[in-house]
Amino acid sequence: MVPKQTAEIFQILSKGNFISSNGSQARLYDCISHEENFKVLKEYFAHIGYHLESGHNYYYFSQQDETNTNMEKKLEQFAHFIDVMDFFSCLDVKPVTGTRYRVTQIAEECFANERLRQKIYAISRKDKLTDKVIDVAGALANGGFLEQEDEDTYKVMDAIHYLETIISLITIEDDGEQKNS
Amino acid sequence: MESRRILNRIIFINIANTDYSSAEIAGNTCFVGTNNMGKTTLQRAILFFYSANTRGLGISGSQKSFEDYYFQYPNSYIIYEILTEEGMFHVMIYRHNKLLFRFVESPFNKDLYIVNNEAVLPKEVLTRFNENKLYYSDQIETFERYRNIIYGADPDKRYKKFALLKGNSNYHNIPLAITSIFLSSEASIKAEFVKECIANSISTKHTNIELKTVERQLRQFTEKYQDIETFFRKENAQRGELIKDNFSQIKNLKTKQRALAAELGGAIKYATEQKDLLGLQVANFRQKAEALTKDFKWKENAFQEKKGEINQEIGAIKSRLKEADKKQKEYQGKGIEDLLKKADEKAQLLASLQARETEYSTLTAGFKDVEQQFKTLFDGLENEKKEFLNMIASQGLSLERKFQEVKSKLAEEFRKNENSLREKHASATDQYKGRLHKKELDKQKAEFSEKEIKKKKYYEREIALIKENLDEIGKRRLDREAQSKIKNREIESLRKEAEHIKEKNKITAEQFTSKNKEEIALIDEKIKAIEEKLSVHQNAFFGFLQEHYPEWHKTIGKVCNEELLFNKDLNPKLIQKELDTLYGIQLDLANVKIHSKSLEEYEQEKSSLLEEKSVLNQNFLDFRETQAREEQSKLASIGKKSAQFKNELSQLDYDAEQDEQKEKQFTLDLNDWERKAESQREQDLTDVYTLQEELKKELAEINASMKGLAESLKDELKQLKDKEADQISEAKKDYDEEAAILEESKDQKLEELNERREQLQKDKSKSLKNKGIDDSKIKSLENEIKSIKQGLDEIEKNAELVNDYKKDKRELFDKVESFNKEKEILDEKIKQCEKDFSAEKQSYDKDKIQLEKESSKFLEELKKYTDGLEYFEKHFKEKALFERLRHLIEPATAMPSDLGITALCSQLFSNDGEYHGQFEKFRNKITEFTGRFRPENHLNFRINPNANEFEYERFAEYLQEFYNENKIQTSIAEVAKNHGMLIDAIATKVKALTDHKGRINRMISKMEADFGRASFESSKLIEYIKLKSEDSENKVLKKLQKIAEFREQNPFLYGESNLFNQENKAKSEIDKKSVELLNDLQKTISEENYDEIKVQDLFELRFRIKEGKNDTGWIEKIDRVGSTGTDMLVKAVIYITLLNVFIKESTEKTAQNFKVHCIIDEVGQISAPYLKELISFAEERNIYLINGLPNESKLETHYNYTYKFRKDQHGNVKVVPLLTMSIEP
Repeated sequence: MVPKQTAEIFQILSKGNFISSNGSQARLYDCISHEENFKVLKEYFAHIGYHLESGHNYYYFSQQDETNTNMEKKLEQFAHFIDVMDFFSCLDVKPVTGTRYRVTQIAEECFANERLRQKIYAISRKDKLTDKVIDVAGALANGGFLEQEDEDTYKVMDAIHYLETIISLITIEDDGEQKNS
Repeated sequence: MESRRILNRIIFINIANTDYSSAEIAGNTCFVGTNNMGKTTLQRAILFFYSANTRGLGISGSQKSFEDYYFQYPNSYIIYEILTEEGMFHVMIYRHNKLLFRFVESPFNKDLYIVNNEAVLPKEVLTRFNENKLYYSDQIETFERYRNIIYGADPDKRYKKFALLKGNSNYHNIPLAITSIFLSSEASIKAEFVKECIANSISTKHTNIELKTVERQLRQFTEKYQDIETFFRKENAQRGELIKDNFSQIKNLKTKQRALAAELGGAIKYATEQKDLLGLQVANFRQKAEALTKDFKWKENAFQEKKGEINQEIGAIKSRLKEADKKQKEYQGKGIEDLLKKADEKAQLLASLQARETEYSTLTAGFKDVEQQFKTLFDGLENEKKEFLNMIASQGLSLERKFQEVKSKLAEEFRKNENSLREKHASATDQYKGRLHKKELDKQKAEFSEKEIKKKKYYEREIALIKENLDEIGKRRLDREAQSKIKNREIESLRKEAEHIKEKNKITAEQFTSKNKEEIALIDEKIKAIEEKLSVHQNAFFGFLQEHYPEWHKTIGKVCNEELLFNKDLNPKLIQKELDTLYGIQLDLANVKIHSKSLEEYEQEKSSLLEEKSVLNQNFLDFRETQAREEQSKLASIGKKSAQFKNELSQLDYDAEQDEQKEKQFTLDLNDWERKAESQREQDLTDVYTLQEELKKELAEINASMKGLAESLKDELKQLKDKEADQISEAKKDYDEEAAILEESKDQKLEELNERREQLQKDKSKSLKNKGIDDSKIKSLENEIKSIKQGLDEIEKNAELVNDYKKDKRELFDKVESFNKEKEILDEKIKQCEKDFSAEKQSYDKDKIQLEKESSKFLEELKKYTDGLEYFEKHFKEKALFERLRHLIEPATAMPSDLGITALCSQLFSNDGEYHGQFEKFRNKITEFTGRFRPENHLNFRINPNANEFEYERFAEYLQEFYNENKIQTSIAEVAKNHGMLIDAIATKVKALTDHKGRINRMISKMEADFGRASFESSKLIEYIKLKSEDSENKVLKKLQKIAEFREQNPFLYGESNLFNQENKAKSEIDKKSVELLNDLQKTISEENYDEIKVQDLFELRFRIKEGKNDTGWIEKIDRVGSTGTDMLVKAVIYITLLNVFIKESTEKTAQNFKVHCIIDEVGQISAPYLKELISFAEERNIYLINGLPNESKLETHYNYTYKFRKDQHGNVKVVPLLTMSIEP
């Protein structure tokens, strides 16, 4: 028997989003984690071609077969995520699960730090510094790695581990080209 | 005298743009005037009489306030004159900062207010009242009080006469309805408006459910609930534990860091001290070594010098020997032996020559006398013999002398050698003795050293320090054990105390709950009984009396019990009214108490019971919260103490562990030091023993050497003696041999001389016989002389060589042996010197090695300290870590460290590295932990992302405290109370609200009945106006009702003091459901965006109006029924009906002899007949209309009073009565 929140879960996960244990959908996370629900839901979603996967305190859908175009698109998006993660990792406060970032605070840090400024200029085309920060934070929020708590605050989700894991799998070869191992 | 009470007149004195106006309004009144003439100003003033509320007069925010607009001067007055059965009184309103009221027991008298066309000030007015002995009330300062007086609800009996009517507790509905009608200027009447009016008539604002408040409370509850739920999430609990562990690791690392820093500080100071000390010692050793080397060098030089001298001597001897050898060989080559022999024969040859020459001269002298001749010959022979014997004797003597010489020479040589040997021996002995003495001194020294070593306490300071530390650890252990026991006892007693508190509270709670339940059940029963009565009252005898027998309370109510009153089977019928008998018997009931109650009283009783119940519920929640709080506070205090003890215990454990490790380390160190000390002692003893052994050996050697030396001296002396004896014996032998040879040659010579004597004898005899001469004999003599001379010449020739030889022999050849001996002695001397030097060198090397060995230990130590200090200076002091630990390192007291400075620095670095690693984990965990809670969570789990180490540690401490004191229980109790209160409050409010439903229905029925009477029979304009109520569709109300139902179904089961208790599944489900219900409600409230739930939200109202052939059907809004005039009329009818119903509902039924005004502006579009009918419709309901018309028309003729508004030359508005007579409609 699938839980009553199945539709809600599907609605979130099918958009490529994550359900993290520390986000506003913590109840859904608990629902999936509850007793046999994960198994039941995994089987249930498998029937319609979605593979429910569990990470470190988060759930997501994976696809076994993907078209090359899709894959390319995802890789492109991922490349952007890497740049954004690189930016966040250079901040005074590192993107650890649960960290709360304030847009104004990041903008101030960028204003004071030339390196950060260069990085954010490279990853966002917005005019104002705060808009740039919103842009990059929004990008991670759209991916489900951050969650906007209020107008000025973003919180790092457990799903950030997904990004970290994937990034850690990247090997850089001698010729400087990146390749997914 | 009038038999009604009514607002008779309104007077403006200096009000707005009026200097003085008076309008009588004790009937239907019409104000005619163009716009902006002051119609509404006057109508508002009339409305103010009823409402006394400056805000509900329809004055917009942009306009001047009522006070500012109406009361511009200190002598501005609004005066209301009221007509009563007893006469008239008036109310004056004036402003003194705020509006003030005074009731004056007399009709309005203009002269009292205006003198010389000028209004006087209130003070003067009062003086005038006093002068005229008019009674006036105190200054009424509040609108509420004024309303209470006007509506007869003021408790002060003095003011009862100033009441317009006698209102009940709902009297405020009358001014509200009048205000609502006046303000409702819309063309359409919405059901909402009517609902509102109904609601206002039956409830107060207090019954409304303020959704904003509810939503806020719900939000607060939900947020808190969510916080607690988050707290109990599995991951968070784990993370909390991890943070605790991490924090303790960090603390331990810090403690370790502090210990290491202190140890490093101590080690640095110790090293610095030791460096100086060891430096001195090393310098001392260096000096000793230098002195030793210098001494040795001096000895070496002396040795070399002596050796050189001896070698020189040997060289000299060697050159002499070489020379002797060389000369010997030269002499040998020259045949020195023969030459010597020949030289030795010189004397013999000379004698022989002399003898031959004599012989020859004799022979040649002529044979003179043979006798003589022969005699001479015989004499010569005898002389020769004598000479020969003399020569032999001399040779014998020479031989003897030579022998004696050799003997004495040997003796001398022996003495010399003996002396030299003895000298040599004495010198060697002296050396040995010197060495022996030195060695004996060394031996004594070694023996002293041995004693010293045996007595010496090695590594005393280190061992003492360690022992001191061990003692301290031991003391600490004892202390700790004692403390540990005390703390464990304390914890145990705290645990028991906590259990006792819980148990006690449990019992108290059970007692309280059961008592509370009983009381609530009792109240519920009472409420149920009242509700039953109320539900049946309409069909029972009670309903009948209410309907058909006013004032029944005073008669039947006194003799009839409740059972009868609420009996439905009595079928009462009214046969004759006002007949005061009981089954034909008249009773005087004046002194009998009324037992029956009115509906309101029942309602009141019910609501007071509900209040009681809610108080009990509240008490229950309060008790539970208070108890939970108290319990929590006590438990928290216990928990805090217990946690403190536990912390102290864990600290003690940690200390014990640390001490144990330290003790182990110290014990190991102690053993190590002791072992080191013992091994050092052993080593030193071994060294001393070895030294002693060596010294013994050396002493023995020296003694042996001395003995050997003595023996060798003896031997050598013996050898020397033997050798001397040998040499003497050899010399003797040579002497004997030579003497023998000499004897032999003597014997031969003597024999030869004898033979020659015999020959001579023979010759003499022959000569004598022959007397002739013999030539051969002379010739042989000549040859013989020649040969002797030749021999002598040769001897003479080699005489120099022989002399040289003899000299050389004397000086060299004979001394070769002595030279060799001397050389041997010198060689021996060299050997001895070398041996001595070698011994010296050996001793020096040994001493040097010993010194080096001893100094190397110090050097090694010194190097260790210097290296450590250097490492510290180069690699540690420059680092930030040092700055952080400076306060610990610098004040530390000097203390040796087994680890050494470098290792301590490394350990500190590694500790720091580990600390940072752990701290990063710790920080991340806290971030993750706090990230799971709302940013503004009530548990205070938040941390600034840029917080420093201290803040993170403070957070961990707070978290630990939170866990230790189980603070979550306080939050749970608080949330549970919130939960209970919320549900209770919602249920109570919903109940209070829904309780109005019956009254609403009654009201609607009444209104419908009233509408039914508005038949307008003469015109038949409106066939009917119908009204019905339906169930509310308000979603929020539905949710609220669900909660109330839930509360009803689970009166005691929901909202336990622990909402998060999972043990009781059934209760947990109930709690879960209640929380869900609250969440749903919150969601709905935010979705629906309502501010409050009012009585009007309880029902939906539908109108149905049939006007002519137009049937509106059931509609919510009366928009357009017919023409504008018709619409106005219908509106007015509905307004009047509403007002009528409200008045009836809000006033005492016994005193209905009053009339009120209904102010409806702009009624110009209603046709004259309909207006006439409307006025009549209102009058039937004791309501007078006050209407406004823009222009004069025929309509005003239907009113009792018509006023026109005009402006005089000063711009003051004048209210001019148009018709002064009342025309009967």
